[in-house]
Parts: sequence; C-alpha cells; structure tokens
Amino acid sequence: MDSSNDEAVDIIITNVVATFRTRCHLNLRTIALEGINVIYKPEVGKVLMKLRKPRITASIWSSGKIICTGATSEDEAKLGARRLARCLQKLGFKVRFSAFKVVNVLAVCSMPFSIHLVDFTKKNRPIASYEPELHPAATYRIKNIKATVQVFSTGSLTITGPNVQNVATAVEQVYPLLFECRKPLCK
Amino acid sequence: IMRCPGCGSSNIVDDDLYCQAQLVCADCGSVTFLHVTLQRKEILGGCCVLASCRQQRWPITVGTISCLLNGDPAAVGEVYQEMIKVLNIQAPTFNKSTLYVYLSFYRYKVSLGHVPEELAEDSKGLTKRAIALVELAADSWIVTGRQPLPIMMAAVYLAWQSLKPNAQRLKMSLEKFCKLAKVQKSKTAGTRITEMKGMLYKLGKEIPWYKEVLTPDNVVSLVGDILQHRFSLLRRALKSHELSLLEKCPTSSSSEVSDLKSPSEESNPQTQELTQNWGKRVLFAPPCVVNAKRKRAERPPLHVTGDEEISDSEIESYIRTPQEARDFAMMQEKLFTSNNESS
Repeated sequence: MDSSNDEAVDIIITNVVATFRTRCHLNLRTIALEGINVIYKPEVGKVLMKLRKPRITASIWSSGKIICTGATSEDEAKLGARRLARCLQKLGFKVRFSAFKVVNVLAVCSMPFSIHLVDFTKKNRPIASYEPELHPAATYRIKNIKATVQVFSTGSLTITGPNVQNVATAVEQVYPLLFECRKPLCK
Repeated sequence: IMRCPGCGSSNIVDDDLYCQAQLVCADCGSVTFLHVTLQRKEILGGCCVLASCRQQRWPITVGTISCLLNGDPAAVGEVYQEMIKVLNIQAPTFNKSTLYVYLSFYRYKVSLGHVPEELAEDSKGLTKRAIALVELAADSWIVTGRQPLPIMMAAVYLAWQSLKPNAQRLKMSLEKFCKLAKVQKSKTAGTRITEMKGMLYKLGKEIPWYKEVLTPDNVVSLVGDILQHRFSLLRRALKSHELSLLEKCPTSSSSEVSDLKSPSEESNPQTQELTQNWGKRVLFAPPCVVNAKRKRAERPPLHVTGDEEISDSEIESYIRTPQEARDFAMMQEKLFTSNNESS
C-alpha cells in the first residue's frame, strides 16, 4: 500500500470473478455425466463445476464461455481457470485456454475510525449517495476506475472493481474523504 | 443485436450465477439495462413523486411508494437511485425538519378526542419529546444506518410513556400502544426501544439526586430529567466510563482507537479484547460493533502465480472413471423411471 496514509489498512480480497473461453463447443451432458462436483442446470443451459483447490465455482456454457468465481486473488483465479480447462481437456474436448480476464474483484476493508454517513454524503454529492431506508451503507462510485465503495458507519468498507489494482486505488482515493468525516467515538 | 453501452461489444450473456439474473457484457463485465418492463415504468412514475416530495420536505417514505405501487422496495430504490443520477438532482432524505413534519401529521392518534383523557397527549409536546429522543439516539449510534420509521415509533412510544410515567402507561406494551394510536406495529421498533432504554440508562445513572436503584426498565420515568440535563449527564457518563476502563487496564488509553500495540499490552488478555473490539472501549457504539458477530473463518490465501504446472493426477480426481460414469447414468435412469411410475 502507498505510504500516503499514516496507517496501513488491510484490504482483504473476498472474491475474484474471471472469464475465459475454450474456443470449442462443450457438450454439457457429457460434462455432467463424466465430471465429479458437477451440477447440471438444463433450464438455464449451463453446468456448474466446483474445484477444491483453489476453491472456485465455474459456470460453463456450451458455447465454451466460462465464468469462474470464488478465488481470493487474481493469480488464484488464473490457476483455477487453467485447472478447469485441463479438466475439460481430459473429458475429451479440444480446449484452447484463451481470453482469460478478471472482470470483477470484491474486497473488504476496515477503517480505524467510524464515519458520519450523512456528512460524508453531503460533502461528496453526487458521487456519494445514502438511502437509509434501502441500505445501511453510503455508496461512493468512482467512475473513471469503475469502482464502487460501500461505506458503513462503523468504518467497514466493501469495494468492488474490475481488478485488484483498481480496488486498491479506490481505497486510496476514498480514505481522505472518509477521514474528514470521521465521527468521534465517545459521543 | 444487443450492444453493451459500456464498450460496444455484442458479447452479452445471461448470467444468473447470483440470485438476481442479469445481462452481462462478457468483454467488459458491465451489467446492461436493456429491457424496460411496464412495472419499471410505473415505478419510475412513483420515483418522480418520491423525489418531488423529498424536495418539498414532505416525508413520504420509499415504503409508502412501494406499497402504493404494489412493488418491491428494493426495485423502487434501484430505479430511484438511477433516476437521481441520470437527472442529476438532489433530494434530501430524512432529517430533523422532515421528522417534525412527519410526526406532526397526527399519525399517532393519541391526542384528546382519539383516546381517553388519561392516555391522551398533546401532539406538539409529544412530537417535541420524540424528536429530542431521536436526537439523543442519533448521538449514541442507534440511528445511523438504520431504517427511520422503527426509530420514530420507538421514540414516540417512549415519549408518550415518559410524559406521564404512571403505572398505566408504563405497563402498556408497544403492541397495545400501536393499537391505541392506530398505527401498524413495527417489529424492529421493539429492538430500538431496548437500545434506547439502554442508552437512557447509561445517562440516567449519572443523575446525582436519584437515590433508588435504576435499571433500563424503570428509566422511562426519568426521561424528562435526562433530556433536560443531557449535556452534563453525557459528560459525567463519559468520565465514569473512562474511570472504569482505567480500573480494568491501567496501560490502555481510551481516546485513540488506533493505538500501536506494545508487546506488554498484547500479553494482557483484557487489553487485547479492548483493542480488537473498539465498541467495548467507548461509552456508546453501534450495536453491531458491541455485539460483534463471529468473524467468518478466513481462508488463508494460496500463494500461487497462476502459471504453475498442473499435474494429471490432480485433474483426474475430478473425473469419473468409465465404470463410475456408467453406474451414475444407470442410477439416474432408474430414478427417472421410478419417479415417473410413482407420479
């Protein structure tokens, strides 16, 4: 983390979503029959396959498009995707691992102070919005890095973005704004 | 051909990996709002009403609009937020002035004429006290991030009880009060009442002239005094709290949350508990921090590069042997036919 903050905050990545393609048609019934840890969903035209290590779940379409979720780092996602591709190869499909891309990263983070949400929203409109009737957190959307930060009054944050770097940048950007609105704990 | 408004790609897939099905662009990952149902159009109308009311400081809630449209509050919220963003307008949410207007609409029918005299309360006085209670609750973390209506209900109920704290009123349950006032009881209001009483107890404890034993249950009779002297009571409560902390662990300081832990402090189990849960170190903290849920067991991250060699044996563990596959197919067929026979 950048040393622009006085204290480091731990960003914990809880989910990485990635996609890739096999460049060949996949027979879902074969996968469901010959693969272990596979759930067939004919009503939506896909198959779910789970791997143990790394712990990921993949949605597999007959077009060869695959979405993997559950990894806790971009590298883990890539390894999981490659393992999946190898599984499918072993099942007899002419798989070519291609177009691998991390499309979404979800992370959590905790500020060492609590936050006055109404204040934060007022100071950062319209980028920030807060609707207590709908959700207990204020939402801060950073358009240029396509990241969304959910800010809870306890100082907890959840961040979603297209990759880990953007998530880290989002936290760096939002930290000073949150710091400005920190709420005295004793009051 | 559908095109993603984000990157222009025509690669849109149906993704229902999560509980809400949505169209996703496979190339840039953005979620695409391509179909507009009649329901959403109706919701949009409701959202226009909601935004206009808010701008006029009329306290209409999202819940009310959803009810009138027979729709899901989450769907209304979604459309509302998109509309606000697209139109670039500002519509303030609940704050003190809207609270006052809301409560002044005689929603709680407990004024003379609606109920017997001994249970009646003038709406102005009731509103004033309820708002004072909400403000006090806001200062002690009960309001932030919570739905506004249950808090108001709890405040009105406690205000009503405390304005004439006789046995009759103090014994009346929230349910009976709501029936009396002709409002629909909110279950969450019960929790807010408990939280508010807890907060009032912490302040009421500091009243020097109260000589009897105070509990969160009998604190309602002191609400008038607490509100009148709230600033000095708060100061006293903070001091008492600091003193009690110093008694527990002389080495910790209660003013900074982000203390650097020294080895000697770490070894003291009480200090450890205090630094881990800041809610226990301060007088008032959000209830979710004080009663922290157990942290989910974090998976240790795999230290991988993503380009490791993948062994055959590992992959084979995910594949059925030909015999297993045959057995599985046979079992499925048997299940299928037996289901058909039994139905």
